[in-house]
Amino acid sequence: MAHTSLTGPGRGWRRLALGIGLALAVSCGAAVTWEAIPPEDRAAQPPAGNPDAVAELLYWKIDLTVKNYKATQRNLQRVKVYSERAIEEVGRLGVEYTDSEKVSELVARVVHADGKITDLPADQFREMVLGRTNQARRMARRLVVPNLRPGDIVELQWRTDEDGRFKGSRFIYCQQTMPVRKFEFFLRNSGSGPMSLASFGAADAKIDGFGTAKGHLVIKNLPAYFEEPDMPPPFNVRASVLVIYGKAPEYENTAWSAASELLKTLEQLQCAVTKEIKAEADRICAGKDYREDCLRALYAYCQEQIANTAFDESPESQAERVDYHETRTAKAVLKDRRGNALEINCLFTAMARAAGFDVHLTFSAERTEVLSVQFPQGWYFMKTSGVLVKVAGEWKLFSPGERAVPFGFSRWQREDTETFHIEDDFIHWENITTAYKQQARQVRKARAVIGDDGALEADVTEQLEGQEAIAWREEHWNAPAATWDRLVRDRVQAGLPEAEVSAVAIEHVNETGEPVVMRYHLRLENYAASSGDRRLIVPDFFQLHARPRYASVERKNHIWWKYPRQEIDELELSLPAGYELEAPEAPAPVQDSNGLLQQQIRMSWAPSTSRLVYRRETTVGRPGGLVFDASSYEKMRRLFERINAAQTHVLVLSPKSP
Amino acid sequence: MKHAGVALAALCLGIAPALAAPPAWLVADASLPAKATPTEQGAEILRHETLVVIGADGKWQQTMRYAMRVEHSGGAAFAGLGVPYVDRADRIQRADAWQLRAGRQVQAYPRKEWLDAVEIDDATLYSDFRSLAVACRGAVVGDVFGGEVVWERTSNAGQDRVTFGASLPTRVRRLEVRVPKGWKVRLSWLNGDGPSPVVSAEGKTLVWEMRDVPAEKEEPWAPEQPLRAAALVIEPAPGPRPPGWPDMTSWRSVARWLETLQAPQCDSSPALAATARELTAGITDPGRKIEVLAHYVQERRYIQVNQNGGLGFGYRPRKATEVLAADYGDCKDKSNLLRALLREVGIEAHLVAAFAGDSLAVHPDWPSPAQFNHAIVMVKLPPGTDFPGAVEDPAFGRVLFFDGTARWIPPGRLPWELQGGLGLACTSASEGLVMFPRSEGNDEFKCVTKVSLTLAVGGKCSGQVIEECRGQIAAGARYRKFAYSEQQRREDWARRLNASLRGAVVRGLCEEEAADGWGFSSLVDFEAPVIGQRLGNDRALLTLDLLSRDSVPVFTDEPRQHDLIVPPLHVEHEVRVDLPEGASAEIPAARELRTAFGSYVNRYAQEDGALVYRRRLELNSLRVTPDQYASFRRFLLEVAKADRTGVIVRFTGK
Repeated sequence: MAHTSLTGPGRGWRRLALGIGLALAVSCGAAVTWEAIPPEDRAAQPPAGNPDAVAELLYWKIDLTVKNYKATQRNLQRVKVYSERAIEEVGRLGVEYTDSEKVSELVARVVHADGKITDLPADQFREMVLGRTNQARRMARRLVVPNLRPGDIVELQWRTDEDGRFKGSRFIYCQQTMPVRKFEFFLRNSGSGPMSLASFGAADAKIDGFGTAKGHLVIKNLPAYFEEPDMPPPFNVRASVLVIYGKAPEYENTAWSAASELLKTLEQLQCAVTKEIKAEADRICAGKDYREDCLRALYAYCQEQIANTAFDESPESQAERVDYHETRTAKAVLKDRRGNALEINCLFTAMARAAGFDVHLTFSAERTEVLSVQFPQGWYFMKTSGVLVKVAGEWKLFSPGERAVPFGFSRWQREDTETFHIEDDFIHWENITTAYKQQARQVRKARAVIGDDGALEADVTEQLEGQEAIAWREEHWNAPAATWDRLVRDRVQAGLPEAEVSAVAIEHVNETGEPVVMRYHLRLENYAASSGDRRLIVPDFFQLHARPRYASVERKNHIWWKYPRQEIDELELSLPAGYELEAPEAPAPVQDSNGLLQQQIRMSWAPSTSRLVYRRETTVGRPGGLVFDASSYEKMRRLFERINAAQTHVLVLSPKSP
Repeated sequence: MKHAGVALAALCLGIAPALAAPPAWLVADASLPAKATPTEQGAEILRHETLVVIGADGKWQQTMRYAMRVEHSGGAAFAGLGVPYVDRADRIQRADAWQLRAGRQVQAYPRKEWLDAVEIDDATLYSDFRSLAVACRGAVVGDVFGGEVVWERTSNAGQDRVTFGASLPTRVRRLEVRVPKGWKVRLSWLNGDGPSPVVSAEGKTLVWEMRDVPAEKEEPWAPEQPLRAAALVIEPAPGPRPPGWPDMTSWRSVARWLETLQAPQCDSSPALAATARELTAGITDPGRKIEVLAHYVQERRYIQVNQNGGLGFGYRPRKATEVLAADYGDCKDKSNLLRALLREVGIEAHLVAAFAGDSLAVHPDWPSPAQFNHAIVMVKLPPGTDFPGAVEDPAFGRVLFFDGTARWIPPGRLPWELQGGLGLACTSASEGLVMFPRSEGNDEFKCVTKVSLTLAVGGKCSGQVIEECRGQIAAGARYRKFAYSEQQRREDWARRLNASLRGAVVRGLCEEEAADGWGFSSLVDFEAPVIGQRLGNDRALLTLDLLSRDSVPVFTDEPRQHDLIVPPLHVEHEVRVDLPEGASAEIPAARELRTAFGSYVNRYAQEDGALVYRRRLELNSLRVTPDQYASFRRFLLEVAKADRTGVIVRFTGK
């Protein structure tokens, strides 16, 4: 996928990366003309919605002509500098390209506030090879605009030609870190098959001639884009344009029906039941009286007995990770006892079908990319394979091709997204549901002793369940014992930098059916603070330095809670001899009116043994994720402040009376 | 001159054709038994060998032989090797690598599969500094990856810095130097200690070898130099020097050589003369002229053009007239431009080679430009002129050192990293190194923060912050004022306040830069929904570490390898809370800590119906050795703990 992006202030060169391929040519001799700058652009001031804007992309035009699969793209950008702050960034122009592209007609100019024009022809751009191997080269042409001042307008234009082996799609973020006044995209197509032009994240985008030989898209007045924590995936919030065209087979068909045909063919060719598969499925399910036991056994077989090339450390699997190979059929996977995620899912499809289950291969999108695929180009995002099995009359998703996902579960990125299967030549839509739902859960249990010097020593067991365990295993699959100490130490010190961690052990590193369990000894030398002769302790010592989830006062984007997560801390603290708790009082529970966020803290104190038992349970979110309007941010921020206040609640220890 | 380090990250894809069998040394390394206990990194270097051969004609040919073994899956990422080189100066003659499994070749990596990449960053328009590197595809546990690179170097003028040790443990690190008869070779240890050489009978071959060198860790606040590094100096036999071997026998000769490179670049033109004239029009005071021209140079954009890097280590600036017209430059370009502008108004100045990042990095007994990565200006003050920050140099008299790249540090001051360091004035009058001044007093990193809080009904509070910064902290604040919008700066203040005052909202922000360019003050009005934590009905616990909570750096308990460079710090906080009528506070005892590293004191008092908290933390400018590290860490932990001291306030009535 080709990318064209223009970065905003403070983000380096205005880099226009243009793709990958073959053959190089850079010419600079062609005469170039400039469009007249409209008076309103000359007089432009920062937009009302971004009064602090230091620069604005007044006009960005892309004119893409595709003729017999050859693409010519002409680009024009016009940026106005409003503040000295923008000069550093706007003054650095650059084009990056590979040897599959011919870049020409590259010129820039500055129209100064007083009307004078400084031309910056192609020969003023410095060219260099950024990187090269025997297979590809990546080049850059860079220019620093001299004597740029606020009020000046910088214009840049260039042309790119690609040969016939282009990629089939073009994706452009038209919303940038500076406001964009007008983005315009022209698409002309002849003899290159059906094409599709779509925009995302821009409510008032106007598209004419969709699906025809001539398309035209205009987006106006895009505010500056910037990232915030917990924001929805970029396709949902950042204005962008997707053009799909080309010769590559996977892009020739631009409609759902054609994509589904592809899926049907794939399932027929790759997931066919053979006598070997039937025999193996029968063997695995022999004696399993319950259907689910059979399915579970098939799942375990595919996940554990077939080497997953994404995780397997054997030389053969490692070689497959870097070298292309033809997709194996289910039969070949069974024979080789090796496969990638799609191949293993195909084998599971075939085996489950052989065992009498109603089953279909399927694909879904990832919620990290897009929240819903219910739009004409949605099929473009359906990249992750899975297997739909009808269980008790309902379609459920399984994916033994994902090594860290237990039976009946799914990674959060796929939970509650849409998928489809083909039956009787019709598309059947399903919302992905899994056989079991288990939220991400982190459970920490500790027995701690607070010394007379205020230091805390604790033996901790930390357990990761559900999505937490899946995520941990995806990152640390097969983590060698020599790295455990570092893994746990880094994890603990991320929240408690002063923590001294020792005696580390990890259990169930690779056993997907079990939680990941970490055991360690923790020492916090400066744990208890003081107030006169009193001691002050935060009983949930893991939260000693915790901050509220949201720090910013302002919010631009929607808020997205990706998946539900629960934290449980069960702690037993032995207080220092000679001290007792002053009126220990557990913080009040926190709960929102919809039950999407709740926290309960319970404490019990046994003066006779100087032991404090503390339990905190905090749950945030619900399955499938949640998107909130930015207007609810303030309320949400306050809730998390209350959550934080309760988690960092201080207890006062006073010396016992003699 | 600053440029990014070599990256070995990129994979070269493709199928390798047949290549000559791996060399015997690599096969032998592959047969070495694996360690009983794998390292945390998951890989070890079996061999890192550097062979330098100087030809009779003075050609410097260098060979690197390298082999590593993957000990566990985490170590596969280290299976790669590469060398930096200077385009159009150095010439790589051969580069081959092999992957061996159980002693047999499984993959070969001929040179054409290596990635040739430029070292470049966002501040670089063009660069001759490149690297040639290869990464192993699909290395598995037990695999040995190694290779050999041979290249001819012309860019180092008989000087090199040699590192002994790496981020992986190394079994054998070996340096061998072969020179023609009569040539001299010297290896001086810059950091750490190393072995003496084994010298051949004729004295033409010298070998330094270290075995079982531990892995070098990346640690915060560490010097930029590796733990074990040496200066390699090769000196031709007496007689005419071969081409590319300038005289580097003394700092004087190095300075002269640099001057010959730089002098032609300090040119002039009518435009340059006019610029100097216009900028200084109406100014008679030479000091003021220096200030105005220095500011002008500082405000030009920092952009590097690393061209002709093979000539004099890249220490030749672009012509001053070119930099003026282009309106950008790097450290040497800006310094050279200032030199040319000053010359137009009759003031003499010289470029000074320096090392940015660590003031103690330059070793006086190794005369070499290879020690420097930065350029500043030394202005010779005209008789009868003085300038704040000017110093008396034994060789040059009254001089002012100025860094044209440090936009937010005014003339008369230097970035802290340079202070007290050594540099080389690039002039034939130079007889040795010059020392940069170190700021006296406590205002180099100073910040005084005063917070006043008023409690309102229902626990709400409103307040005001007055923060006055000096020195390098003020320079940072001036930069933020330039680079960020007021809304972003208000948001920053809200974040800082929220660290200890949940829900704080900034209502007003007023900022002012000091006239001397070395101070910055902020006035912030804020509100917060609640302060402190209630204890029952009639008491509350207040923690008054507003704007100082968790501000003390925390270091881990892992034993330290490197020294820790600590900048001087002087921060004071005063927090004043107006208590409701009838309220009384249980005043905690003062906490005072005094160590060789610095001092800390916090005090509480009830004054005129207000609870007042005063805190002062001072860190001395020092280098904490690994032996002192535990004590230094404990001192900071004690400070952090004392910062969390609470005050119990008892309320009477409603």
